[in-house]
Amino acid sequence: MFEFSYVKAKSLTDAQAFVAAHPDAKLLAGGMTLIPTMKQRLAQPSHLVDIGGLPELRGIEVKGGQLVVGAASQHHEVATSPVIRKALPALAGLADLIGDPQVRNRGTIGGSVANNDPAADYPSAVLALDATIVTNKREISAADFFQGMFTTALESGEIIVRFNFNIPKRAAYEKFAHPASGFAMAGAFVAESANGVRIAITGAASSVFRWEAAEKALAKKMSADALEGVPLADDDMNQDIHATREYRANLARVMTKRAVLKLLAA
Amino acid sequence: MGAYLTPTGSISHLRNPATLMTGVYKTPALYGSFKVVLTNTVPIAAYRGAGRPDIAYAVERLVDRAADELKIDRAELRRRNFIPPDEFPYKTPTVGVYEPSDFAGCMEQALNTADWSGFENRRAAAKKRGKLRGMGLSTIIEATGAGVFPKDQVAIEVDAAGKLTVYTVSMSSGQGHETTFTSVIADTLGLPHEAVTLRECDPGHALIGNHTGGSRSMAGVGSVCKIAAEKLIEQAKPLAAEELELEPSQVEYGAGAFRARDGDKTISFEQLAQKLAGRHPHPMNTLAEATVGSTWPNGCHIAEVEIDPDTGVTEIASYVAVDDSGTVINHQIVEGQVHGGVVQGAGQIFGEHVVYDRASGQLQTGSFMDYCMPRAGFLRKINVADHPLPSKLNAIGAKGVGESGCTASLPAFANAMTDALRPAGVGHLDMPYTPSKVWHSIQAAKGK
Repeated sequence: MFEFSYVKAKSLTDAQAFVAAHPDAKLLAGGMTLIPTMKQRLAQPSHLVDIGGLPELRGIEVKGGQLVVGAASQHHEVATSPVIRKALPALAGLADLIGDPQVRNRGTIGGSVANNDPAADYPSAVLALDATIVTNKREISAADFFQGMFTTALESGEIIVRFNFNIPKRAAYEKFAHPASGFAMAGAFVAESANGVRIAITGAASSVFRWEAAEKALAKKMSADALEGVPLADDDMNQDIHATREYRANLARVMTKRAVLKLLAA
Repeated sequence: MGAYLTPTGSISHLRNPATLMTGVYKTPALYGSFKVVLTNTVPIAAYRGAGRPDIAYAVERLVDRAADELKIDRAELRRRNFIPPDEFPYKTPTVGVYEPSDFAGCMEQALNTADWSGFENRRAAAKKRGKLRGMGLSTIIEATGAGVFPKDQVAIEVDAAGKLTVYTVSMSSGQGHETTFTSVIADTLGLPHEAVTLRECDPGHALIGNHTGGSRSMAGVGSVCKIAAEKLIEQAKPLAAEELELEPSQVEYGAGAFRARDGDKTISFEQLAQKLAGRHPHPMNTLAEATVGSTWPNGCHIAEVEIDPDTGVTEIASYVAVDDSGTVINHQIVEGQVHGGVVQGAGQIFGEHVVYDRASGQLQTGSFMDYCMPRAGFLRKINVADHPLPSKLNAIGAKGVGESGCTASLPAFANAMTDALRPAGVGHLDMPYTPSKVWHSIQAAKGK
């Protein structure tokens, strides 16, 4: 690890001003990706500006028919929040599948979504639930937010403050965990709301994506069988030493089926 | 062998497979040759089992393949070909001389425990759930405990309070010597276990002995512990006789005390040690040594697996391990060794794989995020049973157990996977049985 300075931000405006004045400063929430990256000397920030404890980034509530989750909410908080378990149990269940207890007690939803790791779990929920990402500068819709591997609509110095999740009629998440790392080799978030069905697949491709052909099939009939034969191109799937693109496409389909079964059983 | 030869890499991976090339079967002749290749990868070293699992994996898979082609039950084919009990000590066509073993007895015990005959019902029930269930067995033997130094020494020192400190070279790194060595000495002397303390590799005691490895510590050092305790008794008898005012020949020892053969004169071990505490060094201090060679532990392991054909994920449904580890000093320690070995085998069978990029030579499994180690929840229950036939090759009767779990589990799991995949039309498949590989093999068979 290279040398750096630790700065604990006192407020959101304080954090914003600090990173604006220090181009090599990095924001630190849970540090679950940033710290390992620094340990491997793949990142050399001048400062770490800790925003994990900022009150503006905290809090979980249902407001105006939406579930509002502060960006600094740790995975464990999301997994165990009575508010979320009641309003959006699929999101609580998803958070409970992330990493291990240590990671869940440090890592945050804002950090995970801002990082947009292709194998992260949260992006699937954000996209399938058509959430709004509220930053210190603006509101971004999920459809515009995820732009590719580790790439988002966030501008330099822009900080996610909270997420506004539309509360679906029903939703479910199923994940195939990588046997070694535990990250999603494929994860499927299926949400049904008044506006129809949305399916977001994470882990399988370079970034989270919607499986629109399957959304149409499920809109006609919400059943696992309805997914049989629905086209899912594997050209864009990831291929590495652990899984071929064909296998990942298969996992995406199987996980979607299982999410549908779970959704129907709930 | 990797980029250069390491002693344990080349020796273990040639000697052990050569010794055990015919497994537990009467094999009049065989031909084998080794092709030892140097590459530009990390050198091979000994890892629990060290060549024994490799050859067991090859032999036991071949036996299953033969049973399949001959349409004979896999257990029956083994039964017919086991080395018969009256042929021990059995000289193998290579370099082994097996000590008496009960291969058939081990296997019957395992088959009963695992409900071998009821398997087809469980397979049918799994099929109804859309799963592929398979059962596999292995019957294996190992050569263990040869050691690399000519002898093992054990020193016992007695203190003024009558407590004992035992010094050995062999060092425990989780094998539980603190429990087993001390219990051998305490039990031989009829003393409470807490009267004996173990010090390993003590810098103040120059002893000759072997390292911990090759499943040898109990058979080797454990035997010398027993010899040392017996020697201590004999050495102390004249001292006790003096105290009891008897001829040494009139003194006997039992239950922690020296006593007159006739009459009621007695002095406890502790009292004698305390009385002699003024002399330096303490006259009851003892040094013992012995040369202890190979033992031949063997056993039968049975694995039952269930594959989800949609994802290629395998769940281990049950696991039975029946081992002849010779005299068992402490079943819990034996069970711990078997657990570790079996889970290690499961790791190799289902996940572990070192992958280099063919074009660049870059190691692609450089961390545990990519290199799949077995997890605690992977194998939730292992049924471990002893089938002890005490060894006559060492004082304590122990055979090695440190590597049996790994040696037997690799072929047991592989045979179970083959059995599970056969109805799906999948033929030969090598480890590791990763979900991706298993799924692809099922897909490929569908396309046939």
